[in-house]
Amino acid sequence: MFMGKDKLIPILAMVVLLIGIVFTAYVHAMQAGHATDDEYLLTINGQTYSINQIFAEGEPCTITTDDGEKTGIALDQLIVLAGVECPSCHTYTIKALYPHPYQQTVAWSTLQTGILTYDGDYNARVYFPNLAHAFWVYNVEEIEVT
Amino acid sequence: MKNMKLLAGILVFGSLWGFSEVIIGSGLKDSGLPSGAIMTGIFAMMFLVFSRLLYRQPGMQLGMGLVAGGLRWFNPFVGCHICSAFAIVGEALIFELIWYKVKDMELLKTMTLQSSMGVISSYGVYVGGYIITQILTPLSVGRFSFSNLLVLIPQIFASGLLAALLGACIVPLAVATASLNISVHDRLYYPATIGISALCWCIVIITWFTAGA
Repeated sequence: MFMGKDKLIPILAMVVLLIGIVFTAYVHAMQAGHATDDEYLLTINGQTYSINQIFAEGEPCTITTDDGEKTGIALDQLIVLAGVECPSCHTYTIKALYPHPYQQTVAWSTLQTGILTYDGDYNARVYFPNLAHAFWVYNVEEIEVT
Repeated sequence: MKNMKLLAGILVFGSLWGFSEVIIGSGLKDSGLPSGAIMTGIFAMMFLVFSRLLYRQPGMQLGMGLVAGGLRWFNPFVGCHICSAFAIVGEALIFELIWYKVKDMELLKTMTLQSSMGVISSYGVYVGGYIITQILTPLSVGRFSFSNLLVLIPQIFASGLLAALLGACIVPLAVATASLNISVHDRLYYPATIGISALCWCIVIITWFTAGA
């Protein structure tokens, strides 16, 4: 026997709220478990670097975005510094874990247009002048080379 | 004549929706508030449900989404305007799917049903729009990765909770407003709808030039 819509809709609404609550609890649990080191660390192709090391070794450059001028280290330079062989043979997934996991994948040709910035307040962010802001990953923790 | 009225309705409600996304949404984002969930839970749901009950025409809300998405697309304020435009159109599409069978007040006769529909619609619209934009935005530059979407799923499903709670309050309000049966005379209807739409587009364009200067 089918349940009437009068009962089905409130039950569905409760299920929806329950899903939202469970995922909210999960996301908060993940955030609570995310430890931050004293020094901002960035993993590139499996090797970990401190952000200060990256900015000491890299040559700063400035790009113009629709959000103004941004200065940082060219991402292609980072990949070369990390010793990735045949950079154009790979794709690059830029990952953030905090405040929630987020990642975007770009090709070498796109990566060459981007830079990594650091605001000194535990936030390293990538910018790509010709891509949607969804690709401007902030709190970058890893660049995975695949 | 009925089609013209519907088109004018699509234009005015779509413009109001797009205007609120561009002006209010950007302000909320600047303030560090969860603008996406607030915009969907309050503004999108109000315009979508109110217009659906007023015109009782399935498909109209998708048209509104295209107008609102267009307004957002042409206005590159803070944040991701391409992503937002995709999300708005996606939200309208999901709303049409959820409300396909709702043509009158039958499913909204009690406050419990109205709030429940608010929760289901708002959560579905927000989560659906979010997922659609996470697929279409990377696709627009030719690269979509399912694993990139997968890691974001818990956050998408979690952030929809606020939209759902807001929707539970807004849908009864939209139903109550639509129940007032406010009618506008034809002589005023077209000048009013076109005037309001033009005003929304003008403010957005002026703000765009001002922000860019």
